[in-house]
Amino acid sequence: MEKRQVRNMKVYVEKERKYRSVSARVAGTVAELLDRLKINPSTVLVVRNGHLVTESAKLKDSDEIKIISVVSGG
Amino acid sequence: MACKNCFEKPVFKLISGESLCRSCFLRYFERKVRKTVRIFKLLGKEERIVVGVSGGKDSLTVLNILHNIAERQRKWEVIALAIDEGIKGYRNSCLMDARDFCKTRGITLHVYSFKDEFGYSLDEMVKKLKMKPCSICGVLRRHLLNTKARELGATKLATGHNMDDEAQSIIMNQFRRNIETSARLGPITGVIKEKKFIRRVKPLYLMTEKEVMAYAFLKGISGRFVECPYAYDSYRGEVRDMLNEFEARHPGTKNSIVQSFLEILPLLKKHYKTQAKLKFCRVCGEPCSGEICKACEILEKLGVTGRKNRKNKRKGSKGKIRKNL
Repeated sequence: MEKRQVRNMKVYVEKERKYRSVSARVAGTVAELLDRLKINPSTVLVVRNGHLVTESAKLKDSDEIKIISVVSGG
Repeated sequence: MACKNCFEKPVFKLISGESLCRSCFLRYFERKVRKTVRIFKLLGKEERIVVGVSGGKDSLTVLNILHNIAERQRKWEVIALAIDEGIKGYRNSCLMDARDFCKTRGITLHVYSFKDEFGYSLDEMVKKLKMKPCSICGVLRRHLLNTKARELGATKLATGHNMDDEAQSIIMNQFRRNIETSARLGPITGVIKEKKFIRRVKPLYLMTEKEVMAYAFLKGISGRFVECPYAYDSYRGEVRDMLNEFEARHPGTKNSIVQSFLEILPLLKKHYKTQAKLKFCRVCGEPCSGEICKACEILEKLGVTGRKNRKNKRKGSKGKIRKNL
């Protein structure tokens, strides 16, 4: 039987300047993803495939996610 | 959950729990900034507004909104002023964003540096003095913003301070028992009117940092993420993290801090107005509360002696004003 290839979401965390790989089955929504990555939702914006989304947005494994820090650099 | 107004895809969830789509959010944001300017009487019908820019999302957002209003009503003149403190690997990239932003919109930008004005960059000052970088930077930057805005003929100095910044300042002053300093906060700073003080106004006073970032992102204003190398050492940073933790657990905390503060602010201003005696620094002549202003105290520690030297420095730097138009 042919195995289905599992492809995780690519999640770029701007503040850490690195990618993380997370399964959309585990992180169903943006809120759950942030909770899993232990990121405070009041300090970030989440961009899914180039578009800003709210915490209730549902995620797919094919999504490219960017987590932007809202905290000023100074 | 769809946009509360038009049922389009939401991009932002407000503190109230309601979600907004892209166009409704941008309209909400700009309306709220205009309302802040109106209800707090931040700006009059005719103004020469100098916007203090760092190249970050907050200051460029203010500059963008005020410039757009000025384009329509033509009784405001908006120019930008940036201070280059001389922080290696940080300020250069931010200033580059500010230059690009002003160039594409035809806004005049004036840049002044610590090195030209005081003879030392912040990096050099930090090595020479046993003081926290933020204490040096904050004092000297405010000093330059005021003097340069005045030289540029400003009637108001607009800054990108948002609700998060204000909530942090209020709590910091409470924790340090600096209530007199709190009296100078608010959407228009200062307790006493004095022509040498260019009044600082904060059009983003009621916008959260997250809202400002969302606006900047949607407008294509926000650039790279850069963090000041000295930020690790700041008391503000600790207060900011604490408030963000609270905000996550109790949404609306920062808004409540600022709104409660606004209720007592008129009483604080009244109280300290009667107590405050404005003096003028015997070194540089700028208004201050003591015999010597904080900026001159730092400069004396650095060995930048007296008014004469600083005047010479200033003369020398005049040719280095860089403009983009």
